[in-house]
Amino acid sequence: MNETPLLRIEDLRISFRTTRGPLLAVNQVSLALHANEVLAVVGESGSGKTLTALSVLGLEPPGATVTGRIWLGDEELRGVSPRRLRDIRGASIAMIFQEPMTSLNPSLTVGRQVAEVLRRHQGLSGYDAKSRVLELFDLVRLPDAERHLRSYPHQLSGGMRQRVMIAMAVACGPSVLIADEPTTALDPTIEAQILSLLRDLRASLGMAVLLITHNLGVVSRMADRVVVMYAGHVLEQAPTAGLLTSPAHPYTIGLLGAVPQPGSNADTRRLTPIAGQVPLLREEPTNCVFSPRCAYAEPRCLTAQPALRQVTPGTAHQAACVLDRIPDPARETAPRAQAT
Amino acid sequence: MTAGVAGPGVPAPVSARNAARIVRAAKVRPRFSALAIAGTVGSLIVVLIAIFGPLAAPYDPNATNFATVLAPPGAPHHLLGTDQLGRDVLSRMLYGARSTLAAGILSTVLGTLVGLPYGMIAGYFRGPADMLLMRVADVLLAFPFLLLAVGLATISSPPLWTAVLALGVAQVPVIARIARGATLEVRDLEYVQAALVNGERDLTILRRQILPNVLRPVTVQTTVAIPTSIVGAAILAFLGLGVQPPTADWGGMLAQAQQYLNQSVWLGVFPGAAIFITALCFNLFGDGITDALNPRGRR
Repeated sequence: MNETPLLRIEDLRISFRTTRGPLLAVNQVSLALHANEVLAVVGESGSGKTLTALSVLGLEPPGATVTGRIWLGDEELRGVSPRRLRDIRGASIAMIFQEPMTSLNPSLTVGRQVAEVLRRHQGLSGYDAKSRVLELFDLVRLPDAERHLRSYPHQLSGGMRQRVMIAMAVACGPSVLIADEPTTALDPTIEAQILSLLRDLRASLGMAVLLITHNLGVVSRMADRVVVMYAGHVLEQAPTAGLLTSPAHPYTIGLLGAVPQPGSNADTRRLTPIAGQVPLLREEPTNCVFSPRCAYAEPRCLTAQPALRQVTPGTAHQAACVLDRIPDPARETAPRAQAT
Repeated sequence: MTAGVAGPGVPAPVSARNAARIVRAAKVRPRFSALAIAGTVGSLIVVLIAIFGPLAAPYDPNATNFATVLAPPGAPHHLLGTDQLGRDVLSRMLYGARSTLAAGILSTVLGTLVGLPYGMIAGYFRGPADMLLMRVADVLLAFPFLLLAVGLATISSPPLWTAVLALGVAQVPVIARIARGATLEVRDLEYVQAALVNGERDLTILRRQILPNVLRPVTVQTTVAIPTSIVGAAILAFLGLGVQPPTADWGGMLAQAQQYLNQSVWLGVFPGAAIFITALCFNLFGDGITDALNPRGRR
């Protein structure tokens, strides 16, 4: 993991001016996505993960103020012309969305919609485009590809629609695929199929995948590394195995405690929700953003948002927490009882 | 094999052959209902009359004959009778289809060509552009179209074009509003976002992603507008702002027939019925188009 990252986000900050004053949606976010890597960005709704991804493509909503730098290879994306940005979108960086129901135009056949991307970026049309679409449909394992060239989105199931979306996304061989909750709207068996498809495509096409999700099960099956976001801040990042087995930030511990885990004590362990909700930041935080909900918060947590620091020296595991040792949640029956 | 209609030699209900037949039957399901077909055929006939009617007319539509004034339908040599100047009503009907349809269709085409992009641009870009465009449209909408026609009549000379222009301009805000509404409905959907993510430019998105969704409601409005415009043209002709008197026009004929209603009702009945049937046919045709354009199907 020492080579130059494919996609690098440095100190990203996205704020909105609202009628109720400023709103800080993403703050001091730095990420690196390496070639062939699946990096999962995990967080609750409103944690800024989708916004971060959209800003990579220059598609943040109107009214957003974005600062920071985003590099694709050695090109600084926030500095390039709108025209160059359009050429990058779909060709070098592609994105798939959560809802395959609304991500395809109901008025056009799916074959035509995939062909459109090929026309836009590779100038393919007619027979060339059609045969390439067929190849792509086979690649994403859409059954009966020939027939579905002329199908409308409503004639396809959710899983098939998501396959079409993936075909559109990988049509021009992007180096980065942003998958925004790609399986949230699908049922578990289809989810497994789509995830295995994404894994295979990642390997065969040599893409890096930025996987945005709130599903830790998906993370454990897909991701090489995980970034945990909360209220617009990166709270922890680590290789997947390390994060799932020994989470260092109280928020991550809380997240893991709130979902059922397969295996050992699945029947007896109680799920512990994290009390409270994600705060809306109006300005630069003067305390740890998680401290209001943290069971282990101490007075020093209320002085500033801590920077990311190495959890164990010499590893890639980083957490934004000042506490040295968090009690192990697996052996801890009621962590809230210890709250100060 | 014991159940239902399966008789001797008839394969089981869900055999492969039956399944194939069901699939085939589903595929050849008519895209148009019977009413829509009737409307389409009717509209086609009216259009054909407008194009070829003058060739079939037995008389010059403007030739007066004071020997047979206000002859009833079925009179010798005059199938639909004659009017107050002894002109053959059938010939005038056949000639009149042309200006009547031209005013109805051309004005709607004009209104759509302007109103559709107008509304789509307002809806897609929103913000100040939308504000400005739609307020202008509101002003136009609030402006009585007859007043507009009178104004236009003073600056443009050929009366038919005055009528087309006035009726067309009157439709612009209506079509623009529908196009804007349909654009607003889809512009924030994820597939528009997906097109942006795939690097499409705004104009391409408007044309390829949004236009197909806007076309449907606008087509419906268009097919409703054609009969309305035909009636509108008749109103203008009545006021002397559309087609001028010697020229045959259904609206004009209807207007003139008013004076002779107590002597010869048929003078008003024929153009009135023609306008009614034309309007009905175009409406049914429009409904058919709506159903056919709906990819989900109504049934």
